[in-house]
Amino acid sequence: MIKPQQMKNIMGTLLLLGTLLSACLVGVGGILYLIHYGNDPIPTIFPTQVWQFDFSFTPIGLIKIGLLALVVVQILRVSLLCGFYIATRDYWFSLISSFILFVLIYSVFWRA
Amino acid sequence: MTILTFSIVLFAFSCLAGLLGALTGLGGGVVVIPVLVLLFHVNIHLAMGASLISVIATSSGTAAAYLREGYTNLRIGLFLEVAAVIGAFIGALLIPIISTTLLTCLFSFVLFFSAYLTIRRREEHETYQSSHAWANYLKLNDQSYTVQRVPAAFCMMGIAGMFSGLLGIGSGTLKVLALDQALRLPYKVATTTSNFMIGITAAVSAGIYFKHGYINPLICFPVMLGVIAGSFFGATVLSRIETRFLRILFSIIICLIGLQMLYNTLIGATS
Repeated sequence: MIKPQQMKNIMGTLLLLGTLLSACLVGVGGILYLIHYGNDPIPTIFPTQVWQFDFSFTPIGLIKIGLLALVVVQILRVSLLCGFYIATRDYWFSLISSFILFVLIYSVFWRA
Repeated sequence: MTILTFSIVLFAFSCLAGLLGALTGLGGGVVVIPVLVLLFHVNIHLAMGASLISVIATSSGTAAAYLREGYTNLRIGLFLEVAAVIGAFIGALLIPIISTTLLTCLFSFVLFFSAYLTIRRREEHETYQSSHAWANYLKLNDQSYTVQRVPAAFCMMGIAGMFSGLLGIGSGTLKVLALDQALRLPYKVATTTSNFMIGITAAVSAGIYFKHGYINPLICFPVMLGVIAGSFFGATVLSRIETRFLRILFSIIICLIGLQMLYNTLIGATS
């Protein structure tokens, strides 16, 4: 049976790797964007643009994938906790972590 | 100003924000949002979106070290996170309804309050023999400490989550306050557990910010990388310097920023 401290270590590693991966994607996308469009003037008003999940390997697309990865890592960490509490038959905390997981997934992927 | 200059200057400021955040315990959000709004005249909604991304990044990046140290109380964190995610969800949904003037005023108020809490000296708790009934039932206690006033902390977390969703900040100060003052946890446990919770709360808000279109990749890119770089540097290299003076200095700066934002909003200088 997996111990709480072991699970904390696994989650720590997951978070660190996930953040690094996300930062790398955002960094590469950002630098590519600056190489191509760095000399353009900044827009007078930055637009608010609703996200479509139509990811492409353009510089902006890479930044978007990186930002989304950061949020997905949070979903993974709650899933990990959820799995842990179900495996240890801790019913209250299985319920609590499932609820948080539900709200997370709902807010990220729900499109009205 | 070209996009290159914009990104470099923003990166530099975000580094500073991350560094100050790591040194003083105040998150990067309270610096990033005013810099974007006051210096670059970015819409406050987009500034909040960028801040939120930086909050998730720092919380996740630093959680690894904290989790390995073993201070983080996952059960308390998860239980109180229920209130925090509900608060964040409602807060983030409310943004389009609330005027930017009111949002800015609210943000200034949070700045003053955080500054006050940062300066205030902490008092040590008395030791408790028994713990709250809910804490016993949910097995929230640890061998080395007991847990008090769970319902009060639960309500405070709901409010903290709401502020996080509404203003795009981590609201770590408010979370630590709930864990430290209501639950009476040891300070190290309170700060690490709060850090554990911040990423999840902010991710819920971020999901809704994506939908509103408040997360602009071009603004998030320098902010996120800058804050990560700054906070890692602050946590590893400068963790041993005396921060009391820095905290007071930082609090004064934050109050001035708050006043400036309030002034700009009330005379209508920012949109």
